[in-house]
Amino acid sequence: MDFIANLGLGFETALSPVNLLYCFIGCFLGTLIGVLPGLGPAATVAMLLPLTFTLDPTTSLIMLAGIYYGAQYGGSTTAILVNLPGEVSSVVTAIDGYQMARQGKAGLALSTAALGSFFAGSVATLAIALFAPLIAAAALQFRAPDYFALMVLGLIASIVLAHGSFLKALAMVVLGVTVGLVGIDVTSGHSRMTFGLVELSSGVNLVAVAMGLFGLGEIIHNLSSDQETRSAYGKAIRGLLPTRQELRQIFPPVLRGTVLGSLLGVLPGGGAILSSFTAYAVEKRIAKDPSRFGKGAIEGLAAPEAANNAGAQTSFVPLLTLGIPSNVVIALLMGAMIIHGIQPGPAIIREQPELFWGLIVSMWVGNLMLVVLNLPLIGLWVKLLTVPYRFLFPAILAFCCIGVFTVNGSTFDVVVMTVFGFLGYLFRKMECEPAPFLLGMVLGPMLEEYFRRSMLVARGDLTVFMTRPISATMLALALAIVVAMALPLIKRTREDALRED
Amino acid sequence: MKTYILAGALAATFAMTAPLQAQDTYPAGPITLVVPFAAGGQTDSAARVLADALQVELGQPVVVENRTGAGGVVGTQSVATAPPDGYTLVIGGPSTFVTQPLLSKEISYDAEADFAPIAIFAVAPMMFVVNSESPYNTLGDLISQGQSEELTYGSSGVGSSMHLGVEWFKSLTGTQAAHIPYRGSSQSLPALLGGEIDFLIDPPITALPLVEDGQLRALAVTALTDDPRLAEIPAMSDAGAEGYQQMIWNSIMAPNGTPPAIVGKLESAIETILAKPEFAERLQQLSLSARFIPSDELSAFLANERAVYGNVIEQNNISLD
Repeated sequence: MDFIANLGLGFETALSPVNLLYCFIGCFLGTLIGVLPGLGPAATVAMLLPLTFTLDPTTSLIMLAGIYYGAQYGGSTTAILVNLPGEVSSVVTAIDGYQMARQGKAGLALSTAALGSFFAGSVATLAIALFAPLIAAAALQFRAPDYFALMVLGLIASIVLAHGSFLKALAMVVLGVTVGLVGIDVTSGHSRMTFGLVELSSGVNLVAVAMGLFGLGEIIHNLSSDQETRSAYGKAIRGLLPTRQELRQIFPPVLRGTVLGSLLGVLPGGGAILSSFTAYAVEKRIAKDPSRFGKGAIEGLAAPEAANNAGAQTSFVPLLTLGIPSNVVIALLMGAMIIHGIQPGPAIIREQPELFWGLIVSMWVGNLMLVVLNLPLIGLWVKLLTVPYRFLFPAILAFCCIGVFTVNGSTFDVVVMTVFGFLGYLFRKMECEPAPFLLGMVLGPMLEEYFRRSMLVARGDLTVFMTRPISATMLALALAIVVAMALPLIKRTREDALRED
Repeated sequence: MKTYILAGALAATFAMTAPLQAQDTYPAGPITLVVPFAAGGQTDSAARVLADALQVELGQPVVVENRTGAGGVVGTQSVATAPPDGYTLVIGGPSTFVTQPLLSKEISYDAEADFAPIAIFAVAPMMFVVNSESPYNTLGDLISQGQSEELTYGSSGVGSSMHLGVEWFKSLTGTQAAHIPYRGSSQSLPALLGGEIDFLIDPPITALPLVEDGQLRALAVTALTDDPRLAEIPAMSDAGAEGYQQMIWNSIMAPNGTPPAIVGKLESAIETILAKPEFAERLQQLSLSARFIPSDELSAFLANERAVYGNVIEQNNISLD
């Protein structure tokens, strides 16, 4: 059987001592940079890339890939502990994860994230091994109108994300879209709302905004509130590992998150960002009691974490099957392959089976290492919360500034983060949530881009959104969500109206 | 009084000889080679390959520094104002030295006046590709279809060389095609594979593997090349677009005012490196061909590029402001 033989080759490659060592180094570094806010995998891989030139190509790819998915594990740690998403994908993790931490369940939240990620990573890796070429072919079916419909669905879902006022969530989405439009417009090539600043021509840095709105906003809020509420968050910490009953509770969300993440991760251009948001929205919709979300619901943590990690694994598919990178980090890995004289592309499975299967098996091995590495660390992370806040917050601030600076080596981004820190505090005061803002910022420009591209290709024919099955299905789904949301609202207004009569 | 004059004369002599000596001993310290794009890309990889070889040739460390932002403008600008002492150099290419300055008034450097061109060290053609299931087997097929019906083509964005190239091709052949801009090859290639667009021009580094796998068909290359993997594919100028000639190139540029002796030293070091087969082989892995265009010819080469692209930009009224 071919598959078994291939897996055998993969294990042989991945389990060689050198590759095991570099896989560990990669995962370890990934966890570290994931934990340090701002310092993301893209900056790290870019910095380490030249160091890998002397290594064997398979070994260096195994290590660089380890950094990438390791960072997905580590990224959730600060999101949960101090409400500081170091990456866009962990924004959703911060919503319920941080609330759990405030309730003294930081350990449970971290272990749920780690176990959920491990499960998702393993399943996604298996999916790549079995169906990589098939998945890639399916992803090619996605054209501009389908992406547009996906983004509409995502934006609708983002309103579900909010647990407060519907109107405020909508306002946040719109504001986010506006900020997202800053920079050079792809379709026309013109600069928009850059005020002549070169720094703004490639847009407002998303990581800086996320860290400002969540992390800095939280710090200002904490400092402005009295001592009592602040110390409450290091209060009695219960068991670190989930109980059997909790495991049973998180399994279905993790499974749903894995499937969603695996599918969306393959799509180049925005699929991966959507996965954690969509997973959260799905959980909230099907929950018996959606009001728990945003107040420390474990499903709201488990599903997006699983989706996030599954997506990180399957985003390798377009690279390995077509030679097309689906995000910045993968593009850097592609650079690493090229510099080693390996042409990424469809021929890779045939011509470099050792690299292909070795990398895939190493991803599974790496996921295992990450769980083993992260579970014992949880105790340590949780202890961090007992550090008095007057020491903790300056440290967080310093890490934030360094982290944001390293992304592009730009002081401008540090200013952006500071500005959005104050905005984040203001939003809190007005009881507006930052998550819909961020999703608007990510999706708004893509929504526009795909809409205009659909119109260009279809020569202005709007029916294209209805005639393509993928887009029609997703738009129908979006409409269904809107109706489902509106019905109770209409019912309630009617009840209210009747009561007034 | 006399001693003062003597001292003054001595000082003046020293002041005059000091830079000369500096040129004799150049390079006396590490050289920074600025890459205005992200690490891991084709330009960055080519720069690192060259830096390794220069290091051996010059006996001093050559450090690659990625200064990214605004499509390469940030890094290039930083070198325009660097001291012209040969210790800060920048990798130049078609976008930062030809097209972007033509497309936008807001570029803060003058690609002509602020730089002393040293040499081009690597070139590559681009590939004119269609989906392998498309009915076009030659460039001629596509042109005749495009003369009666409007086709669609993708590019890596407004003002990219893929966009400007096709616009030039259209005006040479009378082909009609609507421009669909994408964010880069990672978006435009899947669109071509999925049948969203009819054709595009893309560099071999991303397009060739898909051609070799049979998913795409190469109708032409944009310039004659000595890359053996592209030997079978006709050049566009021979396949129906007469006069068409477009290349990707990588050069080394120094700030204007760099002493000619230093420019000469770097130029001859690059010439020596390019004569080595192992260097050509490393470039080949990056889908680039080693080619030496020295400083004096480079100025004329750049002037020609500016004239060609300037014409396309003006005719089609393309701007990035």
